[in-house]
Amino acid sequence: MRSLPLVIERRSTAHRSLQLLGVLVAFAFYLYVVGVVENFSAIRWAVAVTLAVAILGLNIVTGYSGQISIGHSAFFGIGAYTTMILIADHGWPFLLTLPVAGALGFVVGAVIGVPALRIRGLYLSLITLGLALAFPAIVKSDNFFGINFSSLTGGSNGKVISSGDVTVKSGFHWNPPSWAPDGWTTNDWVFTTVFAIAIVLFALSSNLVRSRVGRGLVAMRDNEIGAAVSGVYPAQYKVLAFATSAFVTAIGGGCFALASTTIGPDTFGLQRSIEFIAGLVIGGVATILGPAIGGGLGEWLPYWAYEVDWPLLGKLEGPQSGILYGLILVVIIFFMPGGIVYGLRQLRSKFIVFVPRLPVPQDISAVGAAARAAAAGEPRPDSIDPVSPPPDDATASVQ
Amino acid sequence: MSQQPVRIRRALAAALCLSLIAAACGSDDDEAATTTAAAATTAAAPGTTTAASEGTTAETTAPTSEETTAESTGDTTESTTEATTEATTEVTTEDTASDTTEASAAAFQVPTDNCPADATEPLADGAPIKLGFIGPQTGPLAAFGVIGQGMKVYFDKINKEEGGVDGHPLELVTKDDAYDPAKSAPAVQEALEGDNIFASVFQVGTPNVAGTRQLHADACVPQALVGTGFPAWGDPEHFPWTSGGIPSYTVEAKVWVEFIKEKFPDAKKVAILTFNNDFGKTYKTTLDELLPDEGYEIVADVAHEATSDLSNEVTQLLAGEPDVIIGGTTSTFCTNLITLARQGGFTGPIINSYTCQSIQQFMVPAGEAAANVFTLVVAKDPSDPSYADDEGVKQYLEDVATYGPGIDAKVGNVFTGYNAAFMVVDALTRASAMDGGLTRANLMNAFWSYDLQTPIAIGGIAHVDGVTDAYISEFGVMSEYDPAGQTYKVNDGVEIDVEGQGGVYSG
Repeated sequence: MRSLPLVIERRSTAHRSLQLLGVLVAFAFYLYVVGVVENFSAIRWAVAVTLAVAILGLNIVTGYSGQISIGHSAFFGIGAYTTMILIADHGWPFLLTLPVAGALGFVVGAVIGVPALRIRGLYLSLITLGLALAFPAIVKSDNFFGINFSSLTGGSNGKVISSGDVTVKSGFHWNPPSWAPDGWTTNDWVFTTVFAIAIVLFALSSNLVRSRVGRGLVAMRDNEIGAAVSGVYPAQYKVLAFATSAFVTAIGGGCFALASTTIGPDTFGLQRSIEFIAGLVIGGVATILGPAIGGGLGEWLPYWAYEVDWPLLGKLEGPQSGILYGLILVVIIFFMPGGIVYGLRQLRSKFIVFVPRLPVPQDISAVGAAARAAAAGEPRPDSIDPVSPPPDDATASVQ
Repeated sequence: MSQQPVRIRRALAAALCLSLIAAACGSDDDEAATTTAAAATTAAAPGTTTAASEGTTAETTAPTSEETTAESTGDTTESTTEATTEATTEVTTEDTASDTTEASAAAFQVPTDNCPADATEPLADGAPIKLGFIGPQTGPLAAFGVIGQGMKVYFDKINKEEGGVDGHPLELVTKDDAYDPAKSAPAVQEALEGDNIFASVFQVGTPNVAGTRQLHADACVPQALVGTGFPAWGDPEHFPWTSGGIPSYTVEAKVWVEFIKEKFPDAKKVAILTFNNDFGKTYKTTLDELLPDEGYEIVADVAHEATSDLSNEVTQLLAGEPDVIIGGTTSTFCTNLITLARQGGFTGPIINSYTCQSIQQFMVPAGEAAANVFTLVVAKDPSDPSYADDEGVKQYLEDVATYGPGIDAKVGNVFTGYNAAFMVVDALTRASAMDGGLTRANLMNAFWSYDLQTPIAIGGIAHVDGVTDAYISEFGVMSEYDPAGQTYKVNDGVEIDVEGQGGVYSG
């Protein structure tokens, strides 16, 4: 009988089985939303998933690269409006609009990343704040650098597409395909689409942060000078961090347009940006699962705060539900300062600890013998690097 | 009203090129149809009839019969066809609830071909009538949430005193969308599918209504008496399931232009401030069209954002040295405009949007600066002492004290909700008497055929017929505000009755 915590080596069979279990849990969640939850709540879950994708994007630039951005509502809005305009005004199929939305987000993100080369920390946040404030105003403006944005975006009236399943005049439908199970509604199909896209993006992000690029971003966050000295070119990485993050958030915005079917300029203002930051922090900065939790809470927490029938108090009226919402956030941060994922990790560490797989020690005896032979009798210390080639002249052997 | 207000006959019809409704003078149907068709010129102003001719040829019996009944009971509020160049306005004071009961021949019928079955099925006996109020309960515009409180007071009163409508108790279902159109769609879906509401009432927010119009139309559930004056809601031909509940901003802007002509004949230069959203843009579009036509020079035309404190904008307005300033904005921006303009040395008249008429919230904070400020007063403010003896206000205050203790009855928005509930109950009562009983389709027909005096309205009749008149509230009194008495000098004001002249939305 082993004592807790269990020590499991990464990439071992036990580890892989646990990961498979995680995938099954995700699948079970999917089935729960599609099968069990009421139809009108399924669409709220879809919106929650799109918020999770948006926060995933924010995580790349704020969590992993250390550049605080309170302007991500603008990228979210760029993605949403691109998708809306292409679908409603030009009749594009939904999936084709996502690369366009992402590309536009990428470009704008890169442009925003350029000031980041010169400015750090809170001062950079001010620039991103400007972006969050400017976006709704630009959307509503008649003349911004000569472009009439409000006729393109519908101005303050917002834009609408219908994802209903009745044949009506609005034209766009996201109905379940013929091979879908019976009883699936439009909302279920919207959720499926959005969930699938989210899974893909989460997997890609997970790979990104584990790659060389991801390590470079983290190094840049923790010690910029040290990272620069080690070969992480800051200008390139900072701009790319913004661009990639905006790309992901914009795709989240495109999915949001599908899920919520109607958007307006004030949906993408400063409040949304703050919601993203709050969701990221509550979920867990610099984790992959954190954004998922943050997105879910961002959508459901205000709703529960308003709708829940408390035993003694009844339903909270209006603004009082806001107080409850704030209180819950404070309590979560107080007990789990790193966010919910960190709290869960601490809990998990009482039962399971993951240890990295150690590299296999190499046989250095041959190298040592060769070195001794080359050095002709001089004593060699044991701490020889087994990888470097043996020195080819006598003086180099002195450590 | 106890005193005769000053009446000014005005050539609104001729000046604004609006069509007149076929008169209550007993003219026969064909004549009515041709007169309306002939008069349907839509030169200068948006929101006037073009569909009138099509509509009236299809249904010519009911409108005239409605007006005839109104005439014979001694009340006229429409302009007559005799006076095609003038619109005589009269205020009716007697009748309370609508009594035009041609229940079987509703003027307008919503098409129900594409509707699910429950649109035409009568509500089961004794089942509650669920009315949805979807609006901002949280977030920056949560102040509008109290409208739901006012509604609940009236519904509770009807449930207690009359056992509901036609034996059905009334139930209010509120949903929150935080004024964000992206949250309106899920909230409406939940109300439609989860709560199975019978109708949605007084939904707030132009983009919120625009974004959920189709959802209501698909489900064939009335989206009635919406709380925004955007003219597009008066479109019964394309969106029969959506109807407006407050005066149209287009009509209000037209009224302002006429008022300036009448009251300030020496004025030449006008400065305009509008809110940079659809609400303000509706004003701006109408004013930009009409003012030059009438020979005025627009010396400043400024739009402001929700985050502005107006100091820059007012400087721009005053730089043009205007004779009159028009404020097409809302909420505390009206107060700021008045205060800053006076501080800047402007002593001329300022015209205020009717959405700012709440004395307690917007006029009192401006203090003495609010002299020489004119508003189209459409509602009785419950905090205004001059209405202390008004029947409607007294009843309202009593009902809030009885059925809603703890609610501040002086807040104008509560009265707004109470009034909306009053109108809903009227529609429900008429719908129950129609052929087919209380169905959603009949209810929507009832919403398109009002002829009613409401407790909050300062005068006039709330009238729509869904065919030639799609705007329900077209009466007000352009009054000057009196800072000393904290009241509007309604008795010295200029009465505006453009009932029926808003026509139908023409895109």
